[in-house]
Amino acid sequence: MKGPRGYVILLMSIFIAGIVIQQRYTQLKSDHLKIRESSQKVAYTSVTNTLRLVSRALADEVLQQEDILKLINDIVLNEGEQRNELRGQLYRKLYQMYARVSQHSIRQFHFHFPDGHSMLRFHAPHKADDDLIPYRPSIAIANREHIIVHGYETGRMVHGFRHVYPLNYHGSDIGTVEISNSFQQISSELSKITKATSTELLFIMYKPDLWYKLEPSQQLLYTPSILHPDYLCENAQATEFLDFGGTMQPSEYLHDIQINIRNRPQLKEKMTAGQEFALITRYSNQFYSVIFHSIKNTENKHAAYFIACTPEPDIQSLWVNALIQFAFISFLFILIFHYWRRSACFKTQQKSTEDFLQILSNNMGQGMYATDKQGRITFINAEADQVLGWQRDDVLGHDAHDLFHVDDNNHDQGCFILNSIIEGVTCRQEQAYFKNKRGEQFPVELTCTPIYTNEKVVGTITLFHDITQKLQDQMELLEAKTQLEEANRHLNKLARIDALTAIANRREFDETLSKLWKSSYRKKNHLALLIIDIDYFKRYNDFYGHQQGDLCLKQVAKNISKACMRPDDFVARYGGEEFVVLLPQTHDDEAIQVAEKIQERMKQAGMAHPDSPICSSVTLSIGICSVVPHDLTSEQHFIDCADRRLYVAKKRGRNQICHQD
Amino acid sequence: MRVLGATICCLSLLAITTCCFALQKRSLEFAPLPIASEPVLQNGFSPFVRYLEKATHLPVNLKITSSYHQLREGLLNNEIDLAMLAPLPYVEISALKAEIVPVVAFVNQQGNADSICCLATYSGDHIEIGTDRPLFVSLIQPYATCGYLMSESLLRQHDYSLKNGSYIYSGSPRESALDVLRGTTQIAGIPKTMAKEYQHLGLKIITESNPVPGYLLIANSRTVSVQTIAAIRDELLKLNPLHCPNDNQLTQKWDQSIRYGSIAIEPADYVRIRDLFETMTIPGITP
Repeated sequence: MKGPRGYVILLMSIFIAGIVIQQRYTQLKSDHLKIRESSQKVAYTSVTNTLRLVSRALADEVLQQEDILKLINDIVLNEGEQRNELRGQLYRKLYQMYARVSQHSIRQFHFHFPDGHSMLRFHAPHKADDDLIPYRPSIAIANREHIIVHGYETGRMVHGFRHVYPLNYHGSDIGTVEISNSFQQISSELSKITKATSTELLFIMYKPDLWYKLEPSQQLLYTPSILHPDYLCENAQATEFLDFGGTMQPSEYLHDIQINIRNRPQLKEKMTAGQEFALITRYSNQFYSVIFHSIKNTENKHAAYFIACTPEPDIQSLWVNALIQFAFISFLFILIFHYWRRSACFKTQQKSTEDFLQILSNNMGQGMYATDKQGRITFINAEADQVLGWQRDDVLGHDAHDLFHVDDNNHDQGCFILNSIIEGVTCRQEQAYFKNKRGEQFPVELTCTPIYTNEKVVGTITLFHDITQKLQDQMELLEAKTQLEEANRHLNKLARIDALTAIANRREFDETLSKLWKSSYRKKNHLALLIIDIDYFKRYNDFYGHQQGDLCLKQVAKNISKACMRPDDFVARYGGEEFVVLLPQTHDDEAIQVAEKIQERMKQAGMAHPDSPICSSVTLSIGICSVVPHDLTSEQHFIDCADRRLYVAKKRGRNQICHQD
Repeated sequence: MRVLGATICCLSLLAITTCCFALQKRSLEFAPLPIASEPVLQNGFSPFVRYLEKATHLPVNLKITSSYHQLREGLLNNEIDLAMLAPLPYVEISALKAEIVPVVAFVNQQGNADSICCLATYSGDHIEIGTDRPLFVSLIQPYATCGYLMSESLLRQHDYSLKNGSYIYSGSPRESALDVLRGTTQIAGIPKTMAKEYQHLGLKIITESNPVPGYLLIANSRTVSVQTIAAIRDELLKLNPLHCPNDNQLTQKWDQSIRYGSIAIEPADYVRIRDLFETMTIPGITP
C-alpha cells in the first residue's frame, strides 16, 4: 500500500464518492425537473383548456343566436353587393362584442363560408373571400365533417389554438366560425401563472407544418430557429407582425441559453422526432430548466414547440450542496489517507528502527532487553538470548524478574528494574546475578534505564553483560600484582643490603643518614656516627686469602649488628673493611658504650689474625662523632668528623676508640 | 474708398465661406412622415437611409418624429434636411419656407404617383349626401390630403361643407373606413384604394376626386447643397423596382410608401392642392 498505489486508491475513493454524489445530484435534479415539467404542463393545459371553454361559451351564447345565424345564412345565400352589405351588417352587429373579447385572449374571430373561403375576419376586416382550405385543415375538417375542431394550427401570420365551430341554420350548413387564441396570448396568460417562477416562454414552429402555407414573400417573415434548422421563429425585423401585436421574441438571456444548449447531444435528434423533453443548463452562474412542450396540430402531429425556460435556484442549491458534499467527502478521504499514510510510514519507520536496533543490539556485544511498566519483556536482543539461553519468543511478555533475575536477599535495594521504574532513574550495578535457562547463576554488570513517554515512565531498557570471565581475570591479575609487589620489595631490599655481609650497604646508609639527620635536626636530638675499620685487614686477606677475608667481614658485621640493640640503631657496610653505625638520640658517652660493646664482642669472638702486629686476633678501630644537627653543620661534616677520629684512633695504634679530635 | 472696398471684399469672402461651410454639413437628417409606429418607421426607412448615404456620400441619420408638428418644426428650424411628406404638408410648409424643395414623388404599386380621394359610406345606411343632412364624417387627420382638404372639396361639389355638420379625426384611413362600417360615422373621407379594401363589407364610394399627388421627398436647400439634392434625385429616379428585379430586391424592405420607385416632380401637380389650401381653413392647420 505504499507509493502510487495509495494515491490511486485515494483517487479512486474520491472518484467513486464523486460518482455517487453526482448520481444523487442527477436524481434530485431529474426529480425537480419532472416536477417543473409537470407544473409547466399543468399550467399550459390549464390555460389552453380555459381558453377553449371561453371560446365554447362565446360560440354557444353569442354566435349561435338565431339572428346571427340567419344573417350568416343570408350572406351565404346572397351574392354581390347584397352579400357585401349583409357582411357589413354582421361586422357592425358583432364588432362591439369582438372589441370586448379581444381584450381577453381572443385573437381571431373569423367566419368562413361552407366552401372554406373567408367570410369575415374581425381581426382583419379588410381581407375576405380568400380560400382557406389549402392551409387551414381545421376549417376543412369542420366544414366537411361538421364537427368542432380544437387544436393548434399555424396560419400565415398568426399561429395559435383554433376552435372551429360548425354553424347550422335550420338544418343547413352555413359555414363555420373560428375563435382563435394566438400563442402570444397563451404566453401572456401563462406568464401570469408562472410569474412567481420568472419563466420565459418561447414559441418555435415546425417548418414542415408551416412552410408550405407561405408565399415566397411571406417566407421572409420567418427565420430559422437557433436550436434547429427545421424550426422557425418569427422574424423580429418583419414589420408585418406589428399589426398583429408584434413578434414573440426571446429575451436576451433566453437567446443566450438557446445558443448554450443548441449543441447538446441528442437535442437535434429529439427535436427532429418532435419529442417532449427537458434539460438543465447553466448560464451566467445560474441554473435554468428548459422544457420543450410538443404542440400537436389538429391532425395530432407535432407542429411546434412551446419552450419554457425557468431559473432554478433550487437546482443551484442542489449543485452547491453536491459540491459541498464532494468537498467534504474528499477532505475526509484525504484526511483518512493522510493519517493512514502517516501511520504506515510510522510503522515502516518503526519496523526499520526496530530492525536497525535489532541489528545494532545484536552486534553491540551486550545483552539488552526492554520491559514495560509491569516489568514484562517487550524486546530482547540475540546476545541476551545467547547469554540467558532462552529463545526470544520464550521470554517476550514474561516478567524478567521472575525469569532470570536472582533475588539478592542481602541487597537492600530490591529489583533494579522496579527501582528504575518507580524512581525514574538509571540504576547501575557493577555486579549482580542472573540465572540462565538451566538455573545456573552467573555474575553480570548491568545498567537499567527508564523509558519516558510524555514524561511518564513506560518501561525500562536494561543492558548487561556476563562478567564471569572478567572477575576471573581480575582475580588472576590481583594475584600477579601481589607477587610482583613482593618481588619488587625483595629487589628493593637487595638493592639496599650488602650482599656479603647481609647488612645495609652504602646506598642505604646514605638515605638513612639523610632521614635521621633531618629528624634529629627537627627534634634537636643528638645523632651519633661510628665509623669502624678492621685493623690490618689487608694482611688478613693476604694471610688467609680473600675467601677467609669475606668470612671475616661477615663475622665483624654480625658482631656489630648484635652490639646495636635498639630498633632505630643502624648498621651498614661503608665499603671494603669499613662499617658505619648510626645511633639516633645518642650522646658521645652512649656511643662510646656501644663502641666498647662492639669491641668486646670482637674480643669474645677471638677471630685469629696471625699477621696482625698488634694483636693475635682481629681488632677494630672506631671513630665516634655525636652531634645535634644545626644550620652550620652538614651530613658530610658529620661523616668527616667521625672519619677523622677513626684516623686518629688508627694513628694512635689501632684497636682503640677515638671520640675527640 | 480703397479701404472700404477691401473691407467689403473681405466680409463678402467671409460670408461666402460661412455659407459653404453651412451647406457642407457633415451629416444629413432624414425624417419620414409619422404615419406609423416608430418600429415600423424604423424598419421601413432604415434601408432607405443607407441608400441615401450611398447617394450623397454623407452620413444620414433617421430621425423619427412623434408628430407632424415636430417634423414641421424641425424643417423650419433647419434641424431636418430631408423629409418624406404628403402633398398637403409639402404645400403648407413650402408656403412658409421657400427653401423647401421637392426632390422626387414616390409611386404606388400600380406605378402611379397620384391617388384619388373619395367619400365612402356603408351601403346599408343608404346615405344621400344631397338629402341626409347634417352629415357625420370621419376624416383621417388635418394634414392628410384625402382628409379635410379633399373631403371638404368633394362635399362642396354637393353644396355641403363640413362646417355644416360634424366630423372626427380617426388618425388613419383604415380607422375612418371602419368608423363607417361600425356605424360610428356616416361618411369617411379616405383614399379610394382604402375604400376598395372594404368593398366586400358594403363600403360604397359615393363620390371621388381627380388624381392628387402622393408622397414626395423634399429637401431643405438651406442645409443641403444643390449638388447633393441632384445626386439624391438622380439615384432615386434611376431605380425601377416595378420592372427591374435587382431594384425590386433592393427596395423590398423599404417602407411600403416608398418601395415602388419614384418619378420627377411636376410642380403643376400641386397647384390644385395649393389653391384649395389657400382658399380653405383647415381646423388643426390654419389658425
